[in-house]
Amino acid sequence: MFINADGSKPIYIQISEWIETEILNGNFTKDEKVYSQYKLAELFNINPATAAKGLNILYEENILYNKRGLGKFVSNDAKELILDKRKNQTLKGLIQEVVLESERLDVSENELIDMIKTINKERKGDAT
Amino acid sequence: MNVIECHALIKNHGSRKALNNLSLTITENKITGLIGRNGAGKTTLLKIIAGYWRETAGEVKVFSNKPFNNLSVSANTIFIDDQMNFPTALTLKQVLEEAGNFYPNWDMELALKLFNYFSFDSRQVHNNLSKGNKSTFNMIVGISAHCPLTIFDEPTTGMDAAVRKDFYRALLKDYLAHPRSIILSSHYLDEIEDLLEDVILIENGEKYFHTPIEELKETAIGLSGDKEIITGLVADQDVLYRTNGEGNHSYSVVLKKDLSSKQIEKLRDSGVEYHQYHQTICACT
Amino acid sequence: MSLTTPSMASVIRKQYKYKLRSYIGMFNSLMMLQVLAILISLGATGGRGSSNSWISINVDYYSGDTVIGFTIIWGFISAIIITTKAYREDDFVLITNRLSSNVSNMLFLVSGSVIGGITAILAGCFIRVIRYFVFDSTVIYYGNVSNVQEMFMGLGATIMFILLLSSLGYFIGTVVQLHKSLVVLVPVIIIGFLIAQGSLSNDYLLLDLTAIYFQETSFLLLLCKVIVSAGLLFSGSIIISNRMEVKR
Repeated sequence: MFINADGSKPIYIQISEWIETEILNGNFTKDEKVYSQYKLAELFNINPATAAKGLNILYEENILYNKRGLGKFVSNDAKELILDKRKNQTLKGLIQEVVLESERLDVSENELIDMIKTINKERKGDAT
Repeated sequence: MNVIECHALIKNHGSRKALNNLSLTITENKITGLIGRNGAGKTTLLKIIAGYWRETAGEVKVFSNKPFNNLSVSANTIFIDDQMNFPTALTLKQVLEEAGNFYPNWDMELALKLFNYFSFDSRQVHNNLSKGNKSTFNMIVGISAHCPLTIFDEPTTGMDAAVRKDFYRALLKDYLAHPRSIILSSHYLDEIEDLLEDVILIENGEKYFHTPIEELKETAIGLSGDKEIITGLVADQDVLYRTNGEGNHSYSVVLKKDLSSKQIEKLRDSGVEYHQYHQTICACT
Repeated sequence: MSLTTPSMASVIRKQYKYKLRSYIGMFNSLMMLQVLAILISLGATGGRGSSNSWISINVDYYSGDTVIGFTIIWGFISAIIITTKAYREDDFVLITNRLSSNVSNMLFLVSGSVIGGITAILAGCFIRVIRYFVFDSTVIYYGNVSNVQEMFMGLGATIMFILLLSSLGYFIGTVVQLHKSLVVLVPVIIIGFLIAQGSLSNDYLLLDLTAIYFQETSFLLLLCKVIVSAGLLFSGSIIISNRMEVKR
């Protein structure tokens, strides 16, 4: 994993992830216009070309669609696409690491599932 | 439109070659970072672009004109560095007014806003300012002039970290409102990288690379170590830049995306040092 | 961002105004020099006396000549000063090229000569008035100001001499900027020339040269000579400095 040695993701990836989170949180809803590259640039103090690159990733993944001259808008199934992406990529990646680590520590599959259940329970307990 | 075009540019200072066959093109409305070691030729290049210095050979065009002694290039360009002097007879406020008389796009409202924000006193004289405050004042002039080509050569000399941050913020904000071509040369690449669209590295008066910063961050890696091993590995790679160190010690920057993980493993096993983009640039500057 | 196309005339006008404001220190030094010259001139600039046991006669001359002399020197030195790096390169902070920078400098020197000339002539009158009222001298002959026309010609001639020396100073200053070694070389050549002129009694080149201007009795001819000479010196300065780099 030494390729990510410096720990920071490229800024445009961070931008696209930020917009995804905003969509998941309902701050941008279906068919709503998202921030322009200029607004994002001002918000995050970055070059607008970098912000545009972040927006473009989401456009290529059909999470955003283009209205010529008006900007980028949240597409119909944006939420599903993001959830799907995160499940398949981010979560899967995390789980892969968990599985690898438990293998190294000699933790069995059942034990691992139990651990997850316990943490879930604790969280639910905290919530009430 | 191309704002700057240099072709095979050479500048001699006595017997020393300050610029050696440098060619580059900068297109409109981009913020470009110019990086390189002290004495690499950054200032020489910028002063030729600003029309202060005459090229020894080669061609340089700014807004399609030769910049040296050109009134129209001078009117559309502002060059900010820490050597700037304003008449001692004028107060800072008067300097702003005079600059406003000269530059047609001058934004007095912005100038005064920044002037007050950085708590300058309107009766102060430029000559009596501290080094950091001089830089800050020069920066205000540079931003407010709204010149189609705005050049900052090491603009943050002597500034506090907090002021530097404010400066970059102000610059970016104004750039968003009034897009124009900006060149920033700085030693603090990590501070300006977020601002940049493109980055140019020059070394020994030659251009090593000119690439979008995101591409550089994503893909550039530095390798240093045994010359034979490295050249063997990067033979088919797109090498951005390469230097020969002492003996068999060689150093090159390649594009990471073309390097398979197997090759990377091999590099590590053979004792070649591997740098991320950041260290790569730091090693260069 | 759209490009602007500046006109040479408007840039020169702006630079000229800028210089009038920012070189204000030069007029301060002019004022101080003239005050000094007035104080010196209150003692007679020339005089003659004779006496026997019954009568003593003292004839003293009072004039503004010292003030004019000081002002001419001021014009010469100011012109050299504005060719120095610090002044020349201040222009490049704002919009300029070498031609506009030179032309605005010349306009500034012309203005300086006019202001210097007027104040010097007025100072000459001032000296006489002070002598008359404060020192109670009896005026037997009131110098060259016999009528208004002559006074204006005197003023014009003074301005012309200041301008001539300014343009000479500007030219010398510009030549010196060409190369570091000239800072030493040019004064050495000039002083050497003056010494040579002084010691070789059969060579009157310098005297002949100055006579062209200072012995001229026709005002109009003087005007023409000075304008042509100043024009040549200024043009020479423009040609020399046109390829000079901004060294800062």
